[in-house]
Amino acid sequence: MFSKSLFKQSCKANGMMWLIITVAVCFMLSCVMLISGRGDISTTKDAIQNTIIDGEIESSLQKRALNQYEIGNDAMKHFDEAFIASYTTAYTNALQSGVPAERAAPAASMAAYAEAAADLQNTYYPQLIDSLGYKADSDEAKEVQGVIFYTLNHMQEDGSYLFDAFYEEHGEVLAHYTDLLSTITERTHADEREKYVMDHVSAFLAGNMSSKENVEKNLDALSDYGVTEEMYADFGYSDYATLKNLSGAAIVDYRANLEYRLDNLKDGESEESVRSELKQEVTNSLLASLPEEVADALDEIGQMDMYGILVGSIFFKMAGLLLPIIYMIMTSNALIAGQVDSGSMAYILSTSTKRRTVTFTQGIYLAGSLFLMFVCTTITSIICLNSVDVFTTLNNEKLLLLNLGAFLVMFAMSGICFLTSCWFDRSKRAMALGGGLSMFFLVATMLGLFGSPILPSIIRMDALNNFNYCSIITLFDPISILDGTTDYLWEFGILAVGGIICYIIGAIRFRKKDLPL
Amino acid sequence: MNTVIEAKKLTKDYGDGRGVFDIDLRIGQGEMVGFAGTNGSGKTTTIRQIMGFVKPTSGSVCVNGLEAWKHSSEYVRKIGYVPGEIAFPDLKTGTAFLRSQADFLGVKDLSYAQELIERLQLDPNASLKRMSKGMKQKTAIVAALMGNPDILLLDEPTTGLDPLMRCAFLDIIREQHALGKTIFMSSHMFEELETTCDRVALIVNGKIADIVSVEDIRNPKYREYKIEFNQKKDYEAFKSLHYQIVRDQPKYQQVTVSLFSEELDGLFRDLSSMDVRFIAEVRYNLEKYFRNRLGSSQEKEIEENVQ
Repeated sequence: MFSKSLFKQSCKANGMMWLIITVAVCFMLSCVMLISGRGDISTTKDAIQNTIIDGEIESSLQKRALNQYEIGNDAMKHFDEAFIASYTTAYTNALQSGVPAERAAPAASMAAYAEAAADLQNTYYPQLIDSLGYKADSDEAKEVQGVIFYTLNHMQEDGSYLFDAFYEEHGEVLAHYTDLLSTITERTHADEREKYVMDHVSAFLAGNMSSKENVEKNLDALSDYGVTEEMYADFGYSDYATLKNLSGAAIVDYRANLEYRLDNLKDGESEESVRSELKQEVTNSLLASLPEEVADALDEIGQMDMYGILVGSIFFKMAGLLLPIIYMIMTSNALIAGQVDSGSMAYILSTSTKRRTVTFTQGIYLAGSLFLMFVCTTITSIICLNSVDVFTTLNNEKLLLLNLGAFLVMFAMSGICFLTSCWFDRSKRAMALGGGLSMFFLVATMLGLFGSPILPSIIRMDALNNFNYCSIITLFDPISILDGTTDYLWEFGILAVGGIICYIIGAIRFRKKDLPL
Repeated sequence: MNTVIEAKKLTKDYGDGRGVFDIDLRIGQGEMVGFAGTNGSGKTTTIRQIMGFVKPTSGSVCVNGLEAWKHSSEYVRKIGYVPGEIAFPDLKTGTAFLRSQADFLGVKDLSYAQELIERLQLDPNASLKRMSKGMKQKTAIVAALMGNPDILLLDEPTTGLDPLMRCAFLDIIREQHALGKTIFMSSHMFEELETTCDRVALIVNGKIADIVSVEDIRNPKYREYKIEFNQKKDYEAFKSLHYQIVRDQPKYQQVTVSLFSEELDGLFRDLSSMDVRFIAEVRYNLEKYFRNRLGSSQEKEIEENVQ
């Protein structure tokens, strides 16, 4: 079955090409693995990731600021109504009981303030909590409570204000609501109130968020995404001034837009819908503001094992296959069809070497030389992996599987080339069909890459994914190997069996055909 | 005499009338048979079938009683084959090729190969790619002969050889023949077949037109002589004698007569009294023979077609 002499001859004839191609492939492989292993890939990834995280945190802060502003503003509006109602009652009562008007007004004002504040505390706040569906002692309820009462900044009986200390701590000197009460009935009051609420809410939010306790709490929640204290500080989210500017700007933005939109209400728009729409606009996060696919893609990048994909899907599945395919096309042709075409096969067959022995020996040489090539790349890749320090799920075992997969793909394709080489007498035809098909598979895989899920969806062209269905290289699935699933096992099986079948059909055909020797 | 190569109704039809048809041929042990025919007449196809490279459409060819298509691998080792179109494996030099071939054949002793190399004045260290056609041919001949095969199958082995080398080669073939090797050699040159072979088969359009023994050509029953006279009267007188005149050229006073060997004595007696300018034997050869045969068979074919 096996002819040593023929094997020796094939080694001599094709050994040089094998050596050159193997050295080239190993060189390419080590370049890819060593250079990309120096961290360039993860830097890119980190930059993208940080942008996303930064944007996400910012937008959630803005959202919070607007929510708090709305809550505060509504509460103060309610306060105003309650104040006016009780003031009117108190003032009328005082006049009726004969108090002179100049004394009745301040007294009524004092009484109304106390009553409105009490109403806010005892009626409005519990109702609001209730309608929002929060439990009385939940964090959310406490936040709402904080917003309302820090905004009100209640004046105590001794004339001091309850939360002045808090504001002063951050260097804020803010107006007191009691000063605004004298003009409460004037048209400008609404504007003044809104500005008052804005100042207080943004100061409250900034103070709150920059407190050590809250910073730690946020870091805790973000640590899953790799956010460190340093990065968080870098973004500026633990700094009072930055936070205040950010929330203040968001509220100003919102107010300006709201005013404009309310003045120019279109058909079918209610004040409510405009408010929620604007809130959405202002607080849109980076992810939400990009098209959905892009957002998904950026999200994906965060979870990608870039190094593994580069080595597995880019090198072993495509770039690293090109040279072996060239070797395989030329060698499979030289082993059978070329010798039949030139006529030199006559010398082999006239030495009692059976045709079966010829195909068996040449098949062993072809598959064996490819196997040896991938043994070399396996050794190279393991050495390279162990000499780079990079974040990846790749390990020696997975590298072994990647190399095995690449070999099996080459084995299956060499089966096709061997078959055409045995089938045709003309090496031109054998090369055109077998080699053409192999190159087609490779090109289809390259095009298919642009539509495959390993590519971030932002630059993915789904139509190109169809190319993946017409290439047998698709049966080599580095992602499955990297993810540790077992899908690749049956795909390996198909490749191996397909390759063997092609070799056998080729051998049978070669035994039965006429040879022009 | 044992039959070594035997073709029975061997047919390979490539369509359009190309191929070989109903070849019947027996080559005995130690016999040397030539295979003559024009280009494309089917010589190579027949030889390929003997080597077991091509499957016959019908009929069979056996070597040592083994059917070629199925069992060729069992006997090809005993055949020294020189293909019609020489192409070597992808090796560097002639030496490398001969070594590899020796390896295949299991030949350990390369002294005979060395002797052949010297006799053919071959430089085996030349690169196979740069070899001229003649060099390649010589290398192929050495490769075919070095295994000391019992049978030689030579497909136009002398093409590309210069006249001197052809002589050297034909000497080697004759030696092999003398050693009792069975040889089947195709050629389109009748002369070299005539000087080496025992029998020659002529193949025309895929069919064996004739097989002739070279002995018969060399020693024909009757021979032709050309005689020219100085005197017109001698010429006239000679013509009046009862010789079979094949050709008459009055202008030169020349006649060509055909006669059996026994009549030769009588001819000389008749001529002794005449003034003869010269007398020469017109050599009869294979080419002439086949030309005659072909002419008549083609005429026959035409007649058949007409009928």
